[in-house]
Amino acid sequence: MLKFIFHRLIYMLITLWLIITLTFVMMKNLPGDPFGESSQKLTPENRALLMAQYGLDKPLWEQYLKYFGNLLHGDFGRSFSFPAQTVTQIIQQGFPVSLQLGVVSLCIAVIVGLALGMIAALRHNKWQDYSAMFTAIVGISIPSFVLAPLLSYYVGVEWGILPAGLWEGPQYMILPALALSLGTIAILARLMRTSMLDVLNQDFVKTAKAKGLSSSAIIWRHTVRNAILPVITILGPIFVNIITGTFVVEKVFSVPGLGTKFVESIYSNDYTMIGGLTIFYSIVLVVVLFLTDIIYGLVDPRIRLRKGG
Amino acid sequence: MSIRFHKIVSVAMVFILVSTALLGCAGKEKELTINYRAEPPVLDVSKAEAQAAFTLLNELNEGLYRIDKEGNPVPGLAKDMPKVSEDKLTYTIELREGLKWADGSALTANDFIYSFLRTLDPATKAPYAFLLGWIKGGNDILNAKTPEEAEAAKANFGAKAVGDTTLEITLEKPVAFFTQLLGFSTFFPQKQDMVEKAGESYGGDPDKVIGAGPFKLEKWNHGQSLEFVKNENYWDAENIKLENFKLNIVKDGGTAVNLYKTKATDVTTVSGDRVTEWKGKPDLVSNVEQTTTYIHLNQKNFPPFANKKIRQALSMSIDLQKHVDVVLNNGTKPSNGFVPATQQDGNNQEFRTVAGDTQLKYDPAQAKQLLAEGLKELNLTSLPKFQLQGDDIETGKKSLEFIVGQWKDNLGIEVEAVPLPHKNRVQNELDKTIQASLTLWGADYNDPMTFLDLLTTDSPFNASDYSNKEFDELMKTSDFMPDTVTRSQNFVKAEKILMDDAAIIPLYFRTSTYLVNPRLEGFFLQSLGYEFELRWASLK
Amino acid sequence: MSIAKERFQPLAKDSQSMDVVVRPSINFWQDAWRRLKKNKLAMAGLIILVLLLLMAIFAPLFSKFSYYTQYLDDRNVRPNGVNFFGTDEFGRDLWTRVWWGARISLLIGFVAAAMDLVIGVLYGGISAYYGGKVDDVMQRIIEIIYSIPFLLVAILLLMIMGPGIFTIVLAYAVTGWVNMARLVRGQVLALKEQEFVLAARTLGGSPARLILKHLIPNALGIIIVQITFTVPNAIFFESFLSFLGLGIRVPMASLGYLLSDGANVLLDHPHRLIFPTLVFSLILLSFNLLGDGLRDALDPKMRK
Repeated sequence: MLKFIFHRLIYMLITLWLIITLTFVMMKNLPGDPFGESSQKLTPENRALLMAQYGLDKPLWEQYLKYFGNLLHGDFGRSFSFPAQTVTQIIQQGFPVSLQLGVVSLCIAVIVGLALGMIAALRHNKWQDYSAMFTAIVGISIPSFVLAPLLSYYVGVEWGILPAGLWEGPQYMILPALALSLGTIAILARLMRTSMLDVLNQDFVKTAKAKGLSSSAIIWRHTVRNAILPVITILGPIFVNIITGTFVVEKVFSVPGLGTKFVESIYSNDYTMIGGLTIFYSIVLVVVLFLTDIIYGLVDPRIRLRKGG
Repeated sequence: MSIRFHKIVSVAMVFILVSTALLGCAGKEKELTINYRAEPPVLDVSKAEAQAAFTLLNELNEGLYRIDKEGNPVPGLAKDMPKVSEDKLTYTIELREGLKWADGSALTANDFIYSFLRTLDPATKAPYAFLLGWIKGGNDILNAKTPEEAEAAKANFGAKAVGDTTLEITLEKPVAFFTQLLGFSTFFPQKQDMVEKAGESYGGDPDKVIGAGPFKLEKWNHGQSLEFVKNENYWDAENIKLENFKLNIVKDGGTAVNLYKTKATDVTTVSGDRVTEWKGKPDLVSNVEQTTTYIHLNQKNFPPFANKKIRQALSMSIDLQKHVDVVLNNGTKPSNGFVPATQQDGNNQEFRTVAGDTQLKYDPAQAKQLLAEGLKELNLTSLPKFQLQGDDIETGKKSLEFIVGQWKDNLGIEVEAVPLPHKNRVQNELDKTIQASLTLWGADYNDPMTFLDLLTTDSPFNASDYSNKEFDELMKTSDFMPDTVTRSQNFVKAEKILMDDAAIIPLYFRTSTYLVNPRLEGFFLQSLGYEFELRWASLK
Repeated sequence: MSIAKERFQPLAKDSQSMDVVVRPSINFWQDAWRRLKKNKLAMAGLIILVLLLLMAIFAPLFSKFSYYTQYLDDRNVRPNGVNFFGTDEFGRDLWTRVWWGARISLLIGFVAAAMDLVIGVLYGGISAYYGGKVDDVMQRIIEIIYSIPFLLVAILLLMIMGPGIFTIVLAYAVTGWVNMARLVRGQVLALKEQEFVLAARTLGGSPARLILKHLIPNALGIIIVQITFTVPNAIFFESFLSFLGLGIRVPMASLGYLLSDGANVLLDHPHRLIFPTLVFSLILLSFNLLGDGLRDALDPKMRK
């Protein structure tokens, strides 16, 4: 086990290094400079001066080494777009918001998704199965940039139940979290349904039935418990998926998370920010995948951890 | 496992719903709330370059002059209008007595000099430093190659503090609009000890931002909101009626209006079709900015554009009124020249009133004929396909589609629309690698120079590679001409040449539309630099 | 107890009747199809999908409008007998544009699926077939790709290469094939120990032949299911890029572009949002329903 973890750590570091290098090469190929809106008004001389001040006139390999050296010290640098803030500060401000949004959204998705999946499996090939799966799939058939404005307008303005936007308290989280959870609901419902059907067909459930256990006891104690295992192992990646995919919802509901920062930094060539956020997200992703693997290995003895993997 | 989880979540949901009900009732009536589409990158006089930053700096700080509703400078931290020397080169300005920073410490003439020098110092990396290049010796500091060179150049700087309350500013050349320029945030004072103490983080948080303006920054939730309260140390604090205001960062246009409708905000921008339902209501306010949207036709990269008749044909075949109706639909007026409607002529009159209509009129029939003639002169049977690039934002794309459609319908020519990310579009223009480009330019100062100068032969922003000797000559002689009447006439002549040559094709003067709660009085929008002004505002 | 001999009658030695199969023998695919037919949702999905495909192919052909011609006097017209879906702000016929958009979106979906198929299947197949060191290295590469924030790479790629159908598909395919490769690998790993593969190998089949002729056809079920999910995923992905302004070039429009455009005018001109959304959602819905049905039908465990 220890050897397995050690190997994985080595691979994680290689992965991170590759991602950093890849991102660096790509962002340096973006057209334009990293300066703000008024940079289009700089004369070529003034622009050259500014580039020199930021060290952007140096050869790429030199910039790369310097950048990499800073990263090794844990220094992501200062944002070009928000020069008074370090990338680390911006991540510290934005990530908790994305995280909150992600957690609430995941909760909604887990409750609704699992419920739909269970109904579908218990009433396999009956109308309940069809309607549950249909509901789940409708969720991934409408893009969030269509659904979110509709929610903001109808729930926020027409019915006036919840705020149409902004981020000032718990009630402000519901609509964005809901809009964000739809895709996940479909994934979880499908997975839960398949997994439940699997379990329901297995001998121990039949034995339990034969023993004369009440059907609710069978469902809860035997089926759901076992069926939920594969779902738990996928929650990690799904969660990462949610918190990296918050852009649309954050923009529509004015949520001050990292998703918008991510996309905006690419548009404004904010090199330090692009680099910092990519590395940050990659670390989150890699760590979550790593943990998922370990948990998977722990909960399911059938999965043997191979040498080096 | 799942049951317990279920319970926890149910409890959480109940909690959320209950708190919704409780918090939903607690609305603050007295506070003014404003939507803004972007966060100010930094509230630092030297580093500011975005409109959000200019606008907010103008609320929490003040220059020697403040721009009033009519766009004219009125005394701010200065006691009076400046005394200008005979040769219009030296400005002597008295400060008000007893000026204080928001923290109560004294503000002196030296704080202005410190600010100017900090902005000019290349190490500050200030993007708008070129505005200070008009002050004598300014460009020497700005272009210094080493820190030592910069320090040496600072000694010869043309702005000096005479005692604590007098400023003497000597210019390189006469600048007709300099007093107005002094009201722009790049010319605001800065408090040295605060700047040095905060270091690189200066301008990023309330404890690292200071000014001497009507308001002060109380709270800044990054990415989310900024809260301001009245500054009791402002020289005119007794006449500031607004106690506080809050700026929410709202990036989505639809949500912005939704928030206005639910009374969660008092001021917001509104654009496109969303304007329709507000037409005729007191909430709707529009503002013509000093920004012109136009098309570059590069004469070197696409040789047929060197033919005047072809350019004229392209210009005359776009129905500008239809363009603004279809693409913007917010009451924007089409252009009738290059210099935008609200800009002055450097002689205290509106330039457009003086110049009148200079742009070629929409006339598809004549355009078609001009195209035929032009092609004949070039020995071409048809105009080769060319590319028109533009921004890939909503209105940019729509404009491209409209223009390409007009050229196809009215001239029968094929043009490829190429929407690009903003940075990409701008870079192509600066590199002059475009064939045709849909672009826009916002005024840096209230004078036609800021526009007309773009198309001189050696201008780095002349993405058309247009060159006309007569035009260049006119621009050169009028550049810093002390005689403002002749200067204004020269500008009119120059614009006529430009428009008759169809060097570029102006489309419209950018107009932004806002929804403003009628309970807010004395609030106004500005056409240049700042977006809005709250110094004279009050809540009914 | 004995039975009288006469009570036994010899069976006529009719060679034909010996071959008569009372119940038709059904192979795996026929069985799957039989089960798919029973799944009403999946069948509905299939039928809708075929209809949508036909519309996307033929509706623009038989429309008297083109997707780009502007009629500035008929702007934002509500649906009527001439413009079945109304018109947009340039007076362009929305019916034609929506079906053109469906064409583009479906094209993007299918091309992405094709790339998924080629790269993912080969990668997964090779990785599993060779196993050992090769498999280890190839799996590491997959893990690395899996850990890259996908969205960032896609957007960066589009910003650098400029928008267009090919770039969009490429951006999707850069990471999209990973899931396919994983699935195929798992399936092939299980298959390659089975007797028929062993037999083919003993008979001297080359690795390429083994992978392409024996292993992949037997993993086809899983591949088909995966593809029915790749298509809608790619279409969904394109719509997101359109929202970011990185979709295909105007005046051509994908459904994603029409959607993000319509979402801006949902109050004033609802028809510009409703019809594209309807077609878009139906496409995604039918693919997903069909995919779910196929998975049920092709999964031996789901057999009743």
